[in-house]
Amino acid sequence: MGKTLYEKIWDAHVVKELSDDRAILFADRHLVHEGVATYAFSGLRAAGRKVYRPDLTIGVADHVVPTSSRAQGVAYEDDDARRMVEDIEKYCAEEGIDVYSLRDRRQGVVHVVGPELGFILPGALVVCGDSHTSTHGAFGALAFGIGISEVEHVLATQTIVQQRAKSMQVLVTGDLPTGATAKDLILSILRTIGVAGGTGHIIEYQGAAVRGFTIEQRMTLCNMSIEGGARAGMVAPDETTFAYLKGRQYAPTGELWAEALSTWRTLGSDPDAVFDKSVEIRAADVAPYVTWGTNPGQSLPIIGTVPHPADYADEGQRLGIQNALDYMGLVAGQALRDIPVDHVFIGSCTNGRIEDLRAAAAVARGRKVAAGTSAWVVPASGLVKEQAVREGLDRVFIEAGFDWREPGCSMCLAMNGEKLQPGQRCASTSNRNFVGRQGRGVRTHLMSPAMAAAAAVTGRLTDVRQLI
Amino acid sequence: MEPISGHAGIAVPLPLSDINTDLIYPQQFLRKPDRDAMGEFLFYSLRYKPDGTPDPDFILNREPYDAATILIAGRNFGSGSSREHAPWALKAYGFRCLISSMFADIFKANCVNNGIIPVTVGDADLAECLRAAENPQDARFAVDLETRELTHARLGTLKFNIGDSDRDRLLEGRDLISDALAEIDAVEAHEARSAAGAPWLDLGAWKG
Repeated sequence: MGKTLYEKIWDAHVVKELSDDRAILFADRHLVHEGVATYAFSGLRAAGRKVYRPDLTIGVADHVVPTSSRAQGVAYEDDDARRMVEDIEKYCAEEGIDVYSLRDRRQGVVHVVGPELGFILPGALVVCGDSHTSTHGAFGALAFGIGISEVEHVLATQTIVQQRAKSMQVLVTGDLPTGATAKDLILSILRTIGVAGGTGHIIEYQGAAVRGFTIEQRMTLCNMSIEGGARAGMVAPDETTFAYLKGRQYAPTGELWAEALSTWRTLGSDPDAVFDKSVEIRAADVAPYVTWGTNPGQSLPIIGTVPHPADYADEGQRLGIQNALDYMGLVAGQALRDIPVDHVFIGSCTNGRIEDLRAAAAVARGRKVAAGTSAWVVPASGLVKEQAVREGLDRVFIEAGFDWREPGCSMCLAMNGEKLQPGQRCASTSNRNFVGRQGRGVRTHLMSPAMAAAAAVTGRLTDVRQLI
Repeated sequence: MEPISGHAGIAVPLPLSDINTDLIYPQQFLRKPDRDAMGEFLFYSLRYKPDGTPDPDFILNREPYDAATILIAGRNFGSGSSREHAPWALKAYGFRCLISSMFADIFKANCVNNGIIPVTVGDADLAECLRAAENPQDARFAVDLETRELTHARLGTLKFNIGDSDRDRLLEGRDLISDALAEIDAVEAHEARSAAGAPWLDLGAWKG
């Protein structure tokens, strides 16, 4: 019987098999952000330990950095935020770890910076103290989020203890229709499998639509695997992957590149590999999606209406849906298209890359942000921002009335203090529409960058296909 | 980590599915430096009204549940963010044991790493436990990690699931980092294998 890509990468990283289907695994790549650095490095120091392989970790500041202008200094939310950024800079410098913080033009969201620098390679085992580490599976890496105790473990040993997960195939057949994006695809997948459908599993995305995706689209897809409960999502590497990586800062060069390439070209699940679970999604059925509830599985095509709790057989489900509707200030049967929004957030590790900004700018071009609505564009990294400026996208957004900001996680999780007011409604390209995610009482609708731009210029949830 | 072999105490029922770590510990307190002081912010938006006063309607603010040390929650507890602040806050508040029919993967690992017992029972048993705990006179449970048994005066003894390695780890209070450092020869052997087979991964060797 053949092996899945997940099994192959697992097997290649076993340092020592343990009982109970566990193993000590070697982590080829580790990303640290300032939201975990203080706790993990201070724990390491308190135990009298050192970083075992500083060359295999990079540090990035993103979670607490403000995204307001930094020209006159950095307006931290409080001293704790400032200390966290100072700490990651200090600890990384002392331990010999490359760090990308506010003084570096490459600073940005860790899951965007890592790939941009060529730090994430096919077949690698990648960890980071953030659940959206699943993003890096787009490169055919096994990448998953870990806790802070585990960050300390990786710093001290460059290893991580894991139990072998089950495998799950998500086969996307056919091609996406016009107006539907990778974000719409993952929202439709989450609607199908539910927010715990991938728990205990590692997802591999396969099929024509996924093969046709750019690396950035694959990153959007893999990014939200965790919203289905799967710690990791992955796409087998191909020429698209290799073309993206070639020439990047940490990518191999010369003979080493050629050697890597010949290995990477063999990476993928064997044709006779058996997955523990398999789901098929018809790409043709995917349309522009929005979430209506308080988890990412509560999503529907924009042409839909808010569901009726009474349509669900299970009492717990009925209660959950009613709670979600109460929080979201929606009533059953209401058309999603009619819902007005106060704010629009375009950014995050899900949808803050250059292709996302291009898609949003294509809708914003020549239009204005609706009266009574505010809209932010937060490029996910300094390099994304520079590229957008080169393409004139900053002018498009600014002329349309968007706030064009500095890189960071920002309103995706509001950990830096950038949040909305109770009762406000936000069209957001981020990954979680949880209760309170963007501020207490704030109502979040997840969608693609083009859909978010459409919401900005109309002031309500809008079918972007009417604007393109 | 302190070893823990079981726990007995008052259980508080939270009969909601998909409780995520944002709800357990919201983002505005993620910058707090002291993990032992995080209990104050546990379930913040549920425990406190917008003006910051305790919400008497929330069960943790009512007797006897304000003294609860066991939490019984709906399916898929701890989903979402990997923030270890969630188990830190649960522990700082006083919780030693969590009961659900499914825990999110990262959260469960974080709990074990902090000496909190994640007890997994079937959906039917979970419903029974939730119902039992809703009676304030009937809310005491005992968890025995050695026998994997959950005991309640009226429900009797129920078997629960926990992986052997998680159980042993909690019972022994083992430090995983020390264990891994004891295997450093195996780590070095892997590094040598990797450097030969996939030298492009060995940044220190070729990038300097």
